[in-house]
Amino acid sequence: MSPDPRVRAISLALAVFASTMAGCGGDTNRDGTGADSARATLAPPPPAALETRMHEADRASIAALPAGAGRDVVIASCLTCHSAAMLQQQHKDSVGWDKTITQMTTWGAPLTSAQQPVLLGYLVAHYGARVDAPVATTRR
Amino acid sequence: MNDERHADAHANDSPRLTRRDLIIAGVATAGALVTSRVLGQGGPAPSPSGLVIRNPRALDAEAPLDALASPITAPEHFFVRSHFGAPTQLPLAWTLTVDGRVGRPVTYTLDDIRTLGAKGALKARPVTLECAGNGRGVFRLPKTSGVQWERGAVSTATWTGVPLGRLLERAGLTDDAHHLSMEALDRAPLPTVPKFLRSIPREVALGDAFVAYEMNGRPIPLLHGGPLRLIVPGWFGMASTKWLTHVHATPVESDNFFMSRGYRYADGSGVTTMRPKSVIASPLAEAHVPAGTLTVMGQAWSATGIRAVDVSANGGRSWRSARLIGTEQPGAWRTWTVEVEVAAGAATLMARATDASGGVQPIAATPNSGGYGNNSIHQVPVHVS
Repeated sequence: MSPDPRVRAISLALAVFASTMAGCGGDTNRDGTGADSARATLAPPPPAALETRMHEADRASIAALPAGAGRDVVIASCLTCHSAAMLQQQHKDSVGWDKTITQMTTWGAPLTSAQQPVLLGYLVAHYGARVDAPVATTRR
Repeated sequence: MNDERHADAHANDSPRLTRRDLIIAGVATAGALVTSRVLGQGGPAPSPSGLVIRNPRALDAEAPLDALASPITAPEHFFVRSHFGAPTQLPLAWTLTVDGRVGRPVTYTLDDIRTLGAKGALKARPVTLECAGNGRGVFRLPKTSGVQWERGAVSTATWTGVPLGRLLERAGLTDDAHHLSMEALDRAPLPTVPKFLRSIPREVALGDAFVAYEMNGRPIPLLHGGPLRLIVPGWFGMASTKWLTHVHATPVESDNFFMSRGYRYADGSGVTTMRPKSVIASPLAEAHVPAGTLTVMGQAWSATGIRAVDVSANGGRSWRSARLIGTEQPGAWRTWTVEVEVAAGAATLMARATDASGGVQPIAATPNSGGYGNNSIHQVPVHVS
């Protein structure tokens, strides 16, 4: 494994993703008993072309994360469960992202107390509240 | 657990075509003919483009709008919403257990459920599912969480299954079983994250809800919740639990995070049923069309059914009634088509649905912080020459 923590983290994230996708596709755990085939009959797996597009989009969204303090924290902590695209399409102010970080930490996200303000600063700087959007009301 | 298993399985029994099936087939055919005529301009209809991926992991992807021209959406174009993604390990034998506030817990195998279908409990009906956040991205909220869907997180399939009430009947709900809480096999990568659970009220469970095992006549694909998916017609898609394994009868609503805190409007009320809404599937935005008579078509839906669809070709200054294709199928969208006159220049097409309870689709829905239920009128700019 590469000693570069960023590369290591990306590798880990993609390995988790690949494991997930392989499970979806029924391409793992071949035990010679026809179990994969039986599972595929239960629920047909995603088309290979879609899996490829998903994988490419996942990698592209990681590559699109801006450089800066916090990028490695995103990769190591957030991407275990989420794609970078999931973060990139959201817009929150400091209060909103802090609430999210607290929630994710409560749910077991691997974040140290030292990493949390670094992550918060990065998310607010790059995915903060939109200034060009109409003001939303809170009524139903 | 006091299990009861039903061994008289005949999974390969072919369900007979009922009058209802024939009606459904007729409506689908009529809609397909309209679609073919509008899109294909007399020739073969072009293939709709692929899913629009909003989030590659876990997959959230919306249908391309041209795919919504078809009354029945193909699985490869049917929108996908995932919280944790599909289960990575499927058991070789899938079961569905009903327990909790029941006389006796019951566990069904897939064959049991298919056999019930073959013995007359079969339901094969088109049902439209829409993600509660469909249109969130169109709100363009200054602060927004979640997937920024545009207009394609809605699709319709013909689902085959057994009424949930029939499955609950054998277990015998007790009088205090006021809610049915659904549990599924999907899990977050981290075991400390709560499961995604939803519950529905007893009257809904005993009413229209059913447990589906086929989508468009084939086993339900994994991405769409196979092998067993709850279908709750009229409700936003999160109620239609994918990968269903357990139904727990409880006295109260589920207190799961995604039930008690997620899917809430700002006033605290739960996000439940679909609002009146329509989408223009043809022509598409920025299309170049000839001046003169233009055929506009799309779909309209609501929890209560569609009464009318009106279309404007001049930005809402005047409206023309669209023709509703086929007959009303409760829980399914309605294909509509209309011919309007357009003159050279820029034109904005708009479609406005009115539902059976009199609800009218607004020009601009009032935003809410969760971005739920955006049923703003679809506006499609086209170039006329």
